[in-house]
Amino acid sequence: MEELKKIRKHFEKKLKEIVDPKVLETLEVEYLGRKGKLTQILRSLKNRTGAERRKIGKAANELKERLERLFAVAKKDLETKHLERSLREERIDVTAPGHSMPVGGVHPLTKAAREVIDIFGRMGFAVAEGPEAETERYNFDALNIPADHPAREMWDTLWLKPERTNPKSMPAGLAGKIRNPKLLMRTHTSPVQIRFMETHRPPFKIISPGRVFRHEATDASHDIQFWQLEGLAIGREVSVANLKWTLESFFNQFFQPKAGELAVEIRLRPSYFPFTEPSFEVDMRGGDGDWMEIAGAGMVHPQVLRNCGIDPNLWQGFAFGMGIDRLAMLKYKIPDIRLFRENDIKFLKQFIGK
Amino acid sequence: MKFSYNWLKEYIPKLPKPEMFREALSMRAFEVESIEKRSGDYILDIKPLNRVADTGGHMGMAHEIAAILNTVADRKTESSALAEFLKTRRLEPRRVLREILKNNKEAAKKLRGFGVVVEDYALCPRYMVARVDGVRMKGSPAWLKKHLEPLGINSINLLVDLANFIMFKTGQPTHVFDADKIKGNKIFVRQAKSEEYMTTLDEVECKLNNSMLIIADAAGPLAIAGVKGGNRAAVTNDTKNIIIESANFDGASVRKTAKTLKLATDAAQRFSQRLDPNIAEYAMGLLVRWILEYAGGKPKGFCDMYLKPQYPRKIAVRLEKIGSVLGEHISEAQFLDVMRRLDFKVSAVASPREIVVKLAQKLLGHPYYYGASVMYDAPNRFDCSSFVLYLFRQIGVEIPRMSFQQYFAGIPIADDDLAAGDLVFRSQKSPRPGIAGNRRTYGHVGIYIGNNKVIHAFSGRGAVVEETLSAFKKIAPYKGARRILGRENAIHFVVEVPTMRKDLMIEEDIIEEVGRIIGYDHIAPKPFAEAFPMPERNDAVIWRDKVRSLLVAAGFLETDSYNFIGSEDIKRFGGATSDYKELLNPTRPELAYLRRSAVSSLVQHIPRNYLGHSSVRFFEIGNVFLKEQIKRMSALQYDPGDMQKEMIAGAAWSDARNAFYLAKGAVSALFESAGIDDVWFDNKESAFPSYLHPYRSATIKVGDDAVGYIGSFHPAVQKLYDFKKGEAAVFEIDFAKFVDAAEAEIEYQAPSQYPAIVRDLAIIVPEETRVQEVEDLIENTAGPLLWKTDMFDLYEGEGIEIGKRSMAFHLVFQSYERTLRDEEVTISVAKIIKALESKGWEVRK
Repeated sequence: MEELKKIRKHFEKKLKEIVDPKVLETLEVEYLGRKGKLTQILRSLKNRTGAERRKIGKAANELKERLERLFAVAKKDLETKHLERSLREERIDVTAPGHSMPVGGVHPLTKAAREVIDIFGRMGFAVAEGPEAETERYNFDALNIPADHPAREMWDTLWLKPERTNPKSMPAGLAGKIRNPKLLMRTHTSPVQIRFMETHRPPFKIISPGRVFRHEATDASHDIQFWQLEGLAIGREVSVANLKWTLESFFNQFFQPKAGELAVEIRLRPSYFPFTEPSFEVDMRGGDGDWMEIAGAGMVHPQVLRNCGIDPNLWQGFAFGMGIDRLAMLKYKIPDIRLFRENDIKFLKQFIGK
Repeated sequence: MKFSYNWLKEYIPKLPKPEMFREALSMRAFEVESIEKRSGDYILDIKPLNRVADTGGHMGMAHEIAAILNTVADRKTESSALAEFLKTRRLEPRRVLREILKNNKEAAKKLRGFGVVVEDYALCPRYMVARVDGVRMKGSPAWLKKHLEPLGINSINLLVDLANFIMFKTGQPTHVFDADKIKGNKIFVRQAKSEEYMTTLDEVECKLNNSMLIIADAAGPLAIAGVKGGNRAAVTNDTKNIIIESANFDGASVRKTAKTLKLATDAAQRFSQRLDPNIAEYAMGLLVRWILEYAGGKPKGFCDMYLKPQYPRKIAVRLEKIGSVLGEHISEAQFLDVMRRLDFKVSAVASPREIVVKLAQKLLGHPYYYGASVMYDAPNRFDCSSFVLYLFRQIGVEIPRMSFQQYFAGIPIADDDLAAGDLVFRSQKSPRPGIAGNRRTYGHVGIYIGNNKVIHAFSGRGAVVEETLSAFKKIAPYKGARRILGRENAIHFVVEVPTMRKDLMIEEDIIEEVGRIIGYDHIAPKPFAEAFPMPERNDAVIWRDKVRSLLVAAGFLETDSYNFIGSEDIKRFGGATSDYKELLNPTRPELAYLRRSAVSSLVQHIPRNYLGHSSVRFFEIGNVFLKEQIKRMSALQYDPGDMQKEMIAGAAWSDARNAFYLAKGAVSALFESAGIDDVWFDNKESAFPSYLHPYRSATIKVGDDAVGYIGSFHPAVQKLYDFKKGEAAVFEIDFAKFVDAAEAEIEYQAPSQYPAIVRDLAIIVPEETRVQEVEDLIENTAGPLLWKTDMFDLYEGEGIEIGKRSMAFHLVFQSYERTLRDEEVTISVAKIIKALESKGWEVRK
């Protein structure tokens, strides 16, 4: 019994002194292990007589339970302390920069074009596309702009050098009689509309966003290449009123006046384009700002419909065109159109995530 | 074009200040570009666009402003000059001059002893001269100078000033020659001979050529038609006798000549927009009258070469069409009010088809005459198509002149649907010389009048006759029926527009007049009332956006580059300019050809941007142009779209030597994310583009199909582009092929129910041995149980013999049918090891 008391005293004393979990484990082995002090006492019980055996056995078992309990508490305590300490040791400077991961982003014109496509998509306009190098026929003739028409001068054209055709590839009798069509870089995306109308039956609503090209002196608002957005809606009774609604809805979605701001307004002014009749310049005004010219539009000229095999007695519709570059310049407050094609990282990165 | 406010006010006494009507003019007619205050006057710069013919002078502009401000109703606010102008505008051609000169019978007589020869009426539809002898030259009166000065026109002499005055008043340029300096008694309007020269009034010598129209006498050029007068017959202060010219020239020809000679004169500016030949007569009358008044002299009469006089055009207009196009109901009163303000004559037609049929019946028996003119012969004699044209013109509906054109202008209808007023066509029975093709196939036309009857001008019977449709069909192959009058028997109006309004041709033109005069601000925005089918999905747009998202996730920034390249860059890229499609009129030499590779644009963005970065990555989805594709097309099927190819291009630069793997990682992720799992990188191709590093390049293949390339930029080319450090790698992928591969039908395959067994293999191979080679060998010898081979380590350096490298793979074995036994996998691995070792490679066990 004395022995048990001693064990208890020593164990409790030692337990209090321990700070290292490894030492704790040694202590466990020393007292509670297979060859531990308490274990040995319990083992030696078999040599004792009945009453003594019961008495000591009971006390030893009680002590064992007690020691085990104390040990568990101490172990838990020590582990918590130890974890805390090691966490503190792992402390890092969270203000130091992270591993550098490259951050990509789309071009601001893509951003603007995506929005345009989305907004018109919600209004039921499909996206049509076509080649950037075009024939004179698709870019001008089919749009009611014959070669000697003064309106041709409204579009300064980048022409492509004519191709010589091997006379042998020509049908018999035609060699030398047929000139290759003149090729050019499209000055607008209207040829896409022509190609679409030639292959689709109305009613339909399409937009044709894409790169267009002009022979122009470049400055802050002119470039030889830029993005254009054209729209076309042909139906039984598509009207100027529908055009106004479509454009007004679009501008209000695209420029998204904030709560409390006035809605974007548009107005139509008479203009002249050979492929529309009537023709308009479209002005836009955000809130109480000044009117600014933003688009050209009109009701598709019956001759253009006829050129595409659509009967103007049955069908009518509107068309409009505007610069995506200009839309993006207004939306993101970009002062110079040339920035779009300079591709400076400092410029491009500003549109990431916006 | 410049207009004087004071001058306009002479015609509209109550004209408000320019700022007051600027907005109205801009919103209802033309853009007023600027208003400038100048010496007690305002000069308005107005852009009349396609309406130079009627508003190129102060008189026409004043009328337009009056119509917009609606002062026409109030006669007090309109001057007598404007009233007179409108009155003469309504007169028949050839009566205008007589009307203006009615107080001077001599001037309105035929000119004797002097003639005009017009070589080509297409280039000069009208040429008038008048002669006045014994004029007294003196200084221009103050009022005349006062009109011209604010417009920036210096006073030259009385006659020239008067001619200028008339131009700014009417819009019609005129010219005065010194009659005594003209050699011979004839004026020729002819094309210049090549190597012919003329010295202009301001002493500039012009070299002419045979595409230019000139006014000449027996000795040579006197003036360049519609552009500029010559100095040989110029009027001076000693001039006594004069020849006054007022003419109409073809717009395209004048524009071309003025452009070639770089002579942008006021006259050329007006003629090139196409003027009305009838205004020439009005201007001539006024000029003669004013010359007689201010310079005196004795009129000797005039000569007028006008082969095809133009008459007011009749245009059919339907009220409901106006409402339908504008999307706003327009009442009859509103419509008629606009027509009144514009001074257009309007008549109502109750049932157009009935009128046409009745008129046709009335003309039965009139003689047939092949090539009869609608202008001169109708209604006395007709050929088949002039007969039909004449009928429709009476109700304001314009159709082409020739029967085959009429055929194509109409809407095809079945014989069952034939209604009175539709056209029926057949081939020409007996061939006429020079008539072939469509002209012959659709060579004859008649008008259906109901009850199975046709009326047509028939050469076979020499008259306008009525027949049954079946009789009509019997003579020659029947070609079917066409409808001109789209909407059945609707009531419509016929608007008669003066010839000055050359811009008004069709119903839609009149709708524009109604819309703009009423004001587009009166049209309320309305959503579409009709149903449209679901818009088609555009897969290219969707895929482009997916590609963008994937490359953006890999750290690439999107660029937008010019489609063009210069000869210098072509050379740097190792190409020949002859392979590139060239621009005829480039704006800059560095943008003179269409690019054949989008990479050529991208790499140029790197040296401008890499400073301060350890890596930069750009991509672009854009077109390249392969000229040779166009050569393969026949001349008749010629679509430049065929040379265009859309590319996904990327360029990655890194200051370490790892750019290739940066780029390759992005490309692999791109294909994998698109669900394309059979993409591989083939280095066997020997002919990589010369701007690529020959030992760091690969063809990107999907299955057996090459879809693009990837490679490090050739160090020599990189040097040319001034990258001082690092490595750039580029790739270019055919967008269409990428989409095709990505869109290959997805079919769900359930994963195997049975467990996989994974074995790892490490192999030591000579450093030139490619990963692909090792993988191929493993996959080709493993047998069907090998599910996939994943490389997880590629190592060279410490612990590995120099000149060798180690590759480690996970080999995953799996079956769809059963649980694999360890032994069979072991057999398979042993086979692989044996194959690898037979290559002399060391397999670490």
